[in-house]
Amino acid sequence: MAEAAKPSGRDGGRTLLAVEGLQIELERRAQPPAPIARNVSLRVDEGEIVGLIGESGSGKTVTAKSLIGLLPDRIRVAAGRAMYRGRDLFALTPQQMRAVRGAEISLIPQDALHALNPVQVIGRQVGEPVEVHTNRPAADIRDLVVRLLERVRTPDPRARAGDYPHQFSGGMQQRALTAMALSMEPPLILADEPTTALDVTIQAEIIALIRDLRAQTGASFLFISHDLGLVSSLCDRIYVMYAGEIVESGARDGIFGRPRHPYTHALMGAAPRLLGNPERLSTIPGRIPQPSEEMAGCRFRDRCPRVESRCAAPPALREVAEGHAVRCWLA
Amino acid sequence: MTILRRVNWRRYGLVVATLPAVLLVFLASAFAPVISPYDPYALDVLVMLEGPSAGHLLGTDELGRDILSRVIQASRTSIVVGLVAVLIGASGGTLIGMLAAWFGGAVDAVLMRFMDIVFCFPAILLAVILMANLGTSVLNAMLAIGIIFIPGFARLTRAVAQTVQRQPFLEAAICLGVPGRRIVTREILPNVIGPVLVEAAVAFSYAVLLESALSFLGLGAQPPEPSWGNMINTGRGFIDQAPWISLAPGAALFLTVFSFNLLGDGLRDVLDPKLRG
Repeated sequence: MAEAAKPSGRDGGRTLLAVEGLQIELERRAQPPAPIARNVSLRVDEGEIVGLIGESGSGKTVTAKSLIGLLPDRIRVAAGRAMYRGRDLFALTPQQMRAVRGAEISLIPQDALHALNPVQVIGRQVGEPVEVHTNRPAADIRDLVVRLLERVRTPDPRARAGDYPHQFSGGMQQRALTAMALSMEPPLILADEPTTALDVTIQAEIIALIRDLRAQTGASFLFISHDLGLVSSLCDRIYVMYAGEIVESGARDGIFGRPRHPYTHALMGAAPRLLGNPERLSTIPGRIPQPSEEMAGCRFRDRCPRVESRCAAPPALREVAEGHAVRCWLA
Repeated sequence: MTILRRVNWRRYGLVVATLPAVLLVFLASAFAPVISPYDPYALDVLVMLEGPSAGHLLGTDELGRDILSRVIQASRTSIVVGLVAVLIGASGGTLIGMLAAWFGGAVDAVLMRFMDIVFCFPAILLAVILMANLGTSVLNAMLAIGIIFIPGFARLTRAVAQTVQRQPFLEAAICLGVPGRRIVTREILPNVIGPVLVEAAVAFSYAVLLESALSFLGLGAQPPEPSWGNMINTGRGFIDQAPWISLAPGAALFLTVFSFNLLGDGLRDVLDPKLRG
């Protein structure tokens, strides 16, 4: 299966997922389709935690969901490939895709507080992927569930497996969901803002948990977030997305040490800091363009503090340093 | 007494309170031949239209039959009609509602418009129409009442299933590779069962009421078979001389309908997962 994967990446890790030229469109009545993701290419190597950051509406969640065939109605993949272990995820039949979901690629959902079925006990739900993908006996699955809950640090896992979701706190629900996503030990886990619904101390726990899990299982994560602090502490490599485009990509230190795109710069300025205590939080003026808004040239032009005349022509994503690419004329 | 304190009364209180009445109705119909003081069909010309006495606790009717025995015997008809009708309505309605919600689009539109057509007739009128076509018998009464219940259950099931289908946990299940059939049976159906059970308890009381109405009109149980409805109708002619002929089955009907309505409310409390634990 892995023979088609080619060695690449800084540390020589093998490529697990390579998305190339992904175009996602929203179909509209009597109008041409509006692109939501434009020519997105990204790569996740084995054992890597890759961050995908951007504002709400930048297309990051849709990009992740397209990988497991979960796009909403009227939104479809118009072009591109997503090579995962030698197979194109976009070319799979629904049956093949179902076999991939949960077993090969799983998703830790965003809304932890509503992502568990309220009328089923936690243990049953955590064991569901295993029940669906294998024919292991029920007693085995029950033991596995207890081990999984233990691994995500649920206190008294044997007893708590019989609880209903409302008896779990938000953090514990997210941990149970993480256990669920891990139950088949999938090589790739998409984490869609897994901590947004949780408070800060719980966030830190979940982040520590993801880091430990990577160390234990060698799984790769595609971590979607708008929280720069989180991404900077967790991810090895980062893609910055804006209005459906990747505007900057590179290793964590490159991006945070020396951001080249004005948008990345602005995002960092907009992140609240504990120290320094400015009078006002800085914001990025204007708003993110809608998919339906056609713009010639750079899509960040209207909000960019450093806009120039050449920005009227669309900049290409080009490499400015090793492994560091930027979509800006000024970089 | 410690066990009484450990019960979650907010959750179980109403069900426990209605239990005596519900049990009374069920036990009376189950053991009708054993507990009836007289043969409900036996005529006795010596005691026609007699008021309540030690011999006949609830009095006798115009043919000297014991009212208490006939009320007890009639509860069997009511209970069986209620149960079968609710079973027909709940299973048919749940199936249709689930299909409509799951497939959506044209399937949903066709099924639900058909349900709307059935719904737009007043229940009693629809029952009378169905009975007129099917012929008057207890069996046809069950069928007619069951059919009347289908649209209500279908709408309820569809609404709940649609809400559940929009929940993130359903997408989470799909993300983990759970196949569609399993999603319907394991994720959606358990969420639908609760509201359907609550509705079933209320529908049961309504079925009992409808059966009595049909019998009152002479379309349900046929004399000499006793039914609360036809007993009330019979008593109508003697209402000034022997009101107990109508009052006794009326009281039984009231007790049954009232307690099953409350049972429905009680079940809602029990099945609400937020009151659990």
